[in-house]
Amino acid sequence: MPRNEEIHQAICKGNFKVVEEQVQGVIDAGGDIVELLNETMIPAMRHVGDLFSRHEIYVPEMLIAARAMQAGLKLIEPLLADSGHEPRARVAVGTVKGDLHDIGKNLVVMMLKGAGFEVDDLGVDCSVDQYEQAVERGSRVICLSALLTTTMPYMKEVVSHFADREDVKVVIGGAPVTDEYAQQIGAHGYGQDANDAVRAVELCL
Amino acid sequence: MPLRIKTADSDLDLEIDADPGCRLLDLATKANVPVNARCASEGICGGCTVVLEQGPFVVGDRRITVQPDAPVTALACQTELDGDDAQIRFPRSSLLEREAKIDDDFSLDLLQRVTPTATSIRQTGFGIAIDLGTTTVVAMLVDLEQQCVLAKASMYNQQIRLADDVASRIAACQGAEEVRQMQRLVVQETINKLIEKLLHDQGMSSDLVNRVAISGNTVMSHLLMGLSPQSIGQAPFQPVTTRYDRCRARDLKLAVHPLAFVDVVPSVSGYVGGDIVADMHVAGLMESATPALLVDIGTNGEIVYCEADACSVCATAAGPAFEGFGTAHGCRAAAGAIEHLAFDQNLNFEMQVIGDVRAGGICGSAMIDFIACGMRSGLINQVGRYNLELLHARDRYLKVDGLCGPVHACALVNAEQTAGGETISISEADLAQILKAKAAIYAGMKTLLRVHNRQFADLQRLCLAGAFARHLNLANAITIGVLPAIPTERVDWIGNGSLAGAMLTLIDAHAMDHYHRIAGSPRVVQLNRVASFENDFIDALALPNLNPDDRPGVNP
Repeated sequence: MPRNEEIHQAICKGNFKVVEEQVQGVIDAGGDIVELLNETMIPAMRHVGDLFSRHEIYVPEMLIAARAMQAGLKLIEPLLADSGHEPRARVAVGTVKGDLHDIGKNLVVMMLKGAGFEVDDLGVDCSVDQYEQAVERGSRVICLSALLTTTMPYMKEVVSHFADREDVKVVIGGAPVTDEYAQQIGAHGYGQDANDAVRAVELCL
Repeated sequence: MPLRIKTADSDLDLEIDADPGCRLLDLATKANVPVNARCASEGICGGCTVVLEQGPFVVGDRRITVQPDAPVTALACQTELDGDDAQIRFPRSSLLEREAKIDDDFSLDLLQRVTPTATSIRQTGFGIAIDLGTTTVVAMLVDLEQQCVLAKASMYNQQIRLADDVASRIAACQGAEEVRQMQRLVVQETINKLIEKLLHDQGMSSDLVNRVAISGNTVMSHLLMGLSPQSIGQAPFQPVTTRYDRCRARDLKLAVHPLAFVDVVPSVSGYVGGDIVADMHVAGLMESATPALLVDIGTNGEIVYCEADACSVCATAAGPAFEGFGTAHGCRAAAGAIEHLAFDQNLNFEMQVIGDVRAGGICGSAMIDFIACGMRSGLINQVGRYNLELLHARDRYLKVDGLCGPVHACALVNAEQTAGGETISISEADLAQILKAKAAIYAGMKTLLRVHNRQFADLQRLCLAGAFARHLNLANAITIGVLPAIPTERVDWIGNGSLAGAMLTLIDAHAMDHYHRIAGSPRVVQLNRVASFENDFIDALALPNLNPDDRPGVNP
């Protein structure tokens, strides 16, 4: 199956209702959803990420596109497991303890899914224990997000917790977080923005 | 080694002793030159731009010797002195105004809000009412017997020297010592300075002041009382207290009669403070029989819903874009700010600048005007990007360096006509900041209404509080989708309700009882715990909205 132009366009433009209808159409017609994911949906999200990295679009448009991607993924995710689809790796994402700002985090989740990763979305206000449990569930990389300078210090605690675990990599990001800070606390990677986070995760693997 | 520091209008020209290797920003701060370093010296904001007029410097990691005939522009936070005979000049745009120009007005007949029975209790002497803002502090001298305002004064909250916004101020309060320093900065360097000025101008002695009333957000109230704001910075955002015990002026070292009573308006929660409680009371919001919203369009965007006995509050993370931060040429509504603008399809601009000075920046109200005109003229599309052909055709196109690379921008005022000598423009990255801010406000209001099974069409009153709302063009705000399209007669502006509320505390013996009752009544809503919020937020990121039900002209 070649690229489904209509779905590709609808994701890029953020038209989530069209994405829902069209993806459901492919499912109902017994189409190949793994191919739909790999040939249409992932390339669409990658295209959006590239435009963002080139400053041709900005966060508002990226969020609008990510919502459309999510609408499509929601329909195919339950079916992927039965279809023999092998995700690239499992990655856990959550905002750190004390931080409830999840819009940036949700964008990272979408970009990772859009790059073919299986994402364990831990939600907001995550303790060291929750990240630990995600590792037990099979995540090899954990991504920490913080929007407040007041919650940032908790990242250090999480990084320290996994310091002697060579099989676990920690990537951090969020508005007040810098590459310098990531190095200072010993994180394995730093994502400057949601698209960059994907690159940082890929570098860890 | 001497270093000569001058400012733009030669109102300051001094020579200080300085060692090589010292940062120019630190030297300026030491010499009490009020340089704007709001990005905490990260080299990001450009607020501390300095002209190196002569002498040796290290700019970043580059060593240069500046000749008097070829001055160099640099950032004071990224430049070090490198030797003798140096001279620098700070342009006006790099200096914090010594006296803040802010809103000290309220459009209310306060005496109407005085509890009827209270008028029988006559007060004597004088009082000080204070609106304790994160950025600016306003103080009023009040004749308690005549119930009238004698004088007003305002200045920047001097805590700004240590940290800019609420979140960074919390972060700066790691220990008891830091909290004490913050308390000292706000009491002795800010409030007492204002009180001294007010009394001096009236030729009055401080002993005549026997009452002080203060209203501010929860973090400011904590720092005033010397309480740690640390816990407010993290979920569940619990303050140490929401009620501040009545104390005497001497307890806080306030420069009035030592036995003067000090009342601080109570808070609702960590992010909804006494300033909002005061707004609610002076606006008469609690008496609404029909659905009413009160909104403070600021960084933390507090929103209150009231209808009969139901009352909820939330804070929405709008960020500081409307207040002039986070955009390349954004500024507060002070002298030199473009306050309003309009343009047609040929991109012919008309602008209104505050004060009789050259334009120095764009304040939030003009940003809203810009986007509204951009939508009407086809310059700006639904997702906040420019029609580049139109920009080029009208000779308005500019490529500027954004935080993360070159971005498209629309030139508003050419370099030779601005105060700072730099072209004033609005980039697509700036538009994105405004879109995020307006989406947070709109989706916050919508969510709070939804929690009560209401929608904008049900809204009988939309009450705007805070300084920003005063400059707002209502029609443009509705066009871009920051405010809902409700009949304009249902929208009112109360001005600085926090200041009004503080004054009411002085002249109405029952005011504090009302405040305590109000502060205890609302239900606090966490917006992102409401499932529909994110969807509404994303819809509101577009101009005016992706949801057809939320477009002006569709709803009443």
